[in-house]
Amino acid sequence: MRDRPVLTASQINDELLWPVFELRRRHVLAFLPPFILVMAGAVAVTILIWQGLWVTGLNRPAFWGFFIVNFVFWIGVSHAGTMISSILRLTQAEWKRPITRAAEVMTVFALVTSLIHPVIHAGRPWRIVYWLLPYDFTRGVWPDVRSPLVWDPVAITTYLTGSILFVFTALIPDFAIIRDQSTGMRRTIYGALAMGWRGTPRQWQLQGIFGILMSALILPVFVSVHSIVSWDFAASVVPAWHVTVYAPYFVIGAVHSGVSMVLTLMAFMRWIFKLENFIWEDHFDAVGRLLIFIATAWLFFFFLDFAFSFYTREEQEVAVMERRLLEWPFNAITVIMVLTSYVIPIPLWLNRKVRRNIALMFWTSILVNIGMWLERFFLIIPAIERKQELTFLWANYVPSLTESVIVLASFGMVAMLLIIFAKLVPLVPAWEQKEGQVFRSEVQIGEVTVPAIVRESEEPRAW
Amino acid sequence: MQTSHAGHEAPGPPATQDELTQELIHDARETGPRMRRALWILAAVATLGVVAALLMMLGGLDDHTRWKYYAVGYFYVFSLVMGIPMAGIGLRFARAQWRRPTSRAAELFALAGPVLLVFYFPIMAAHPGLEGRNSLWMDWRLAPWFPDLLMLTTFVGIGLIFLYVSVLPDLAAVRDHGSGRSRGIAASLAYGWVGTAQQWAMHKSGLGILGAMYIAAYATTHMVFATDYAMVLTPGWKDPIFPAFHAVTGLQMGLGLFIVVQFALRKWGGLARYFELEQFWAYGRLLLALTLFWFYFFWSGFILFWYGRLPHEQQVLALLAFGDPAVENLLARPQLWMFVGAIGLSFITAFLLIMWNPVRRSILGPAVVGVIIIIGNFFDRLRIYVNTWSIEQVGGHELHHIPTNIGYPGILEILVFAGMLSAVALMILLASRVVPFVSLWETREALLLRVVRPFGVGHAHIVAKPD
Repeated sequence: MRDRPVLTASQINDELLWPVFELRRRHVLAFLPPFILVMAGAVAVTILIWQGLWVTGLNRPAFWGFFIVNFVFWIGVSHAGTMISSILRLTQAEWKRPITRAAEVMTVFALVTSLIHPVIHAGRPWRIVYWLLPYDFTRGVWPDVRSPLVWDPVAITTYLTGSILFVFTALIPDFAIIRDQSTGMRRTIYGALAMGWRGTPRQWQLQGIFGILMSALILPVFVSVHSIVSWDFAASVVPAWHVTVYAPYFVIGAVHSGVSMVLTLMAFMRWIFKLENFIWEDHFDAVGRLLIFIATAWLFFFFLDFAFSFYTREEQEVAVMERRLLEWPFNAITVIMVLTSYVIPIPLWLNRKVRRNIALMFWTSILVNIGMWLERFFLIIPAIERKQELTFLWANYVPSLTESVIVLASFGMVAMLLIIFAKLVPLVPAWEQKEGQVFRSEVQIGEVTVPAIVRESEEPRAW
Repeated sequence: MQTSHAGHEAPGPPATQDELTQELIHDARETGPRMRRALWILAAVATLGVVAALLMMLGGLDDHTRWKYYAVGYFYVFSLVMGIPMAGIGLRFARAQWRRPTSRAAELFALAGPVLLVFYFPIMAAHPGLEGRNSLWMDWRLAPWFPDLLMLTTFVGIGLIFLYVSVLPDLAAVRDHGSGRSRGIAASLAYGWVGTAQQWAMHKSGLGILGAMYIAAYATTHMVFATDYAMVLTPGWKDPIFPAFHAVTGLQMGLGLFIVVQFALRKWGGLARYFELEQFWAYGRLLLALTLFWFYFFWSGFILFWYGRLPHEQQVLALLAFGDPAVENLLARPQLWMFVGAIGLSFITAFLLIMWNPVRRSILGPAVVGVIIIIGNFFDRLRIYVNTWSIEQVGGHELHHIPTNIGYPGILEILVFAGMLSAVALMILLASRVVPFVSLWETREALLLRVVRPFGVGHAHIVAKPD
């Protein structure tokens, strides 16, 4: 990595902590658009609850529409945090430092947002309590524990709990920094959150061990969450859903959309919070290279799903594929999906200059997320519309304005929560930046000085 | 099993570039009498394998069920060796510095390609064709023979070109510093390499492009082979995850074998200082990840078949895992025992061992797990190919009869199997007489990019990041 600025500890504090201590115009301006979207969403949800599910486009047999598509999409996005934090932490990738927290926080907010969707989808949300709690006792009928619909909340809440723990423990040293720079009520609150952190060697050691342990433990949860979400569909015998490749296909799609959204977020953070000294072109380059690999793996699974849908030439499955490929609007959706998820961004990302161009990376990452949202739509809707064998039981799902507004509001909600979070703690971990400064080094090769990093080692070997 | 640093008594690396060149160009490539004897034995067994394959062909190609053990042997060896170059390619993409001394040994396995191409023709000819069967090829008359052969040839070709590009700087080094017959061979192959900046830039780009092509060819060849040589032979088996499972298990067993090869090179090849604890530890982690992938890809397919309870999928489970449910005596269900052997060794035993850091962080631990995985995946290929190639039924939505009498391999099949393995070993050992098992140019680069400095109370590796 090149051109890395040398920063002192106090410079790092100043540049990262200003959003916590000051309210600047850019912060407010960034907050307003998502806030407006969330308010619009709140109105739409109110209308839906007041009027009932008829205001949506859901109709027999297409009872899963935009809400479930969006639920799956946000669950997918939530995979970014684990991908960036756990895997890169375990592989000691140095470039992860400025982006771990934003990715982890996005995981939490994406999960919370996704969880709202099944509640809205229920139409009468208060009845969820009735369905969940007295149901078994009053009727003597227990939920079928073999159903993926039961595994789903278990996996997601485990993932949410783990992700919150992950974020919180990584926040403790930064809470302590804010505590030490604050007075009054703020000092009391951050003091409580810092839980007596003084930065002793033992505290750092425990923090490090916890980070590694959590990274290893959360990985199976991360894989299981989206696998189970995929089994919500695949475990049924609906044609084009009952496909064995769904679990890894969903997981890799989730990682593709999640890491792309991290890219979007990196550019956004850099612009809003002036983080040029922390988020460099090198980071975009590294994430871009990672995404080339992820996107290609996604394409492989997409191809497997696609190719095998014609393998047995079963009429119902072919009907779904025909709908996906030939019938409006799914034919357009398929084309846009493939173009935006792979055909446009990947050739661009193969070029190093593009990977280091932040504006281009920002827009291409948005393209990927459009594509990956459409991919969820592509996978879910045509199959459910054709799930019945008899053609007079087929349906066409047309999403309503209410549903569309709620979907848009979900994007606003994640953005708004992130901006609020950025007001409370730095989105780039200050302590990781300071650690990064300690581990930076240089190696002289001939006449050139090459940036280097320090790797702890017990053995003085050359390889 | 050794833990910690036991058995880790290798001397330190050569301190200078010249010492490194001397050691790798001169010392490591000497062909002693033991090596000559080994080469002759391998050549003899490989020839026997070819003769056995020809004799099998003379016995007839009409009945594909006769070829079931040939198919097992062929696809086992294919899976075992063709994934190994990925260890070099993938880790180069990931810029893992620790891979440097091991890349060449991995890439040399691309030489298995021509061997597999030779032994492919009989199995291709024995394929019963797609008429009346499900297919990925949309009733193409030439399928599966022509596209599969084309796929394999492309894959093998890419592997060989990749290997050639990778060894080019070392061929030049042998030309400039070597002696004897290998020097002449290296000089003719080095093709005017003098190491200009432009040549190095092209070399780097070439390795990147060819590496990406190798990965793509690996995935697609596995996809096509797994489908055309296993799935299509089984009525009612539609399983898109299976090609990916086939590819991932190929990587797992390939890495297992590669770790064993590194162990052998360390122990008997005089290369202990290059195949260090650091490499075994890191490859052990990769082996853990791939072992988990083994289970994940298996489970993703298995759970849907098990859960869906569709009759045709239950029959596939019976064929590949549980055996014929009509047979009450579990001992008389060969499929069950193959399945238990596959999952018991490839996943359960391997995972229970490699999950522990002390096992990974040793020389012997990953090697032992590698052996277990190699054996476990043999059971896996056995359960897949011997069962699917035993099916006589053509067409239909469901398999009507689970084969119970799958027989045993004959002497010809055993000779073919031994011949394939020997031919692969022979090719690699012959190549190592010309170019060193440890990549000279990559290790020289490592000497430049990695230095050791005191750090705090211990030592630290300083790793330069020029890119």
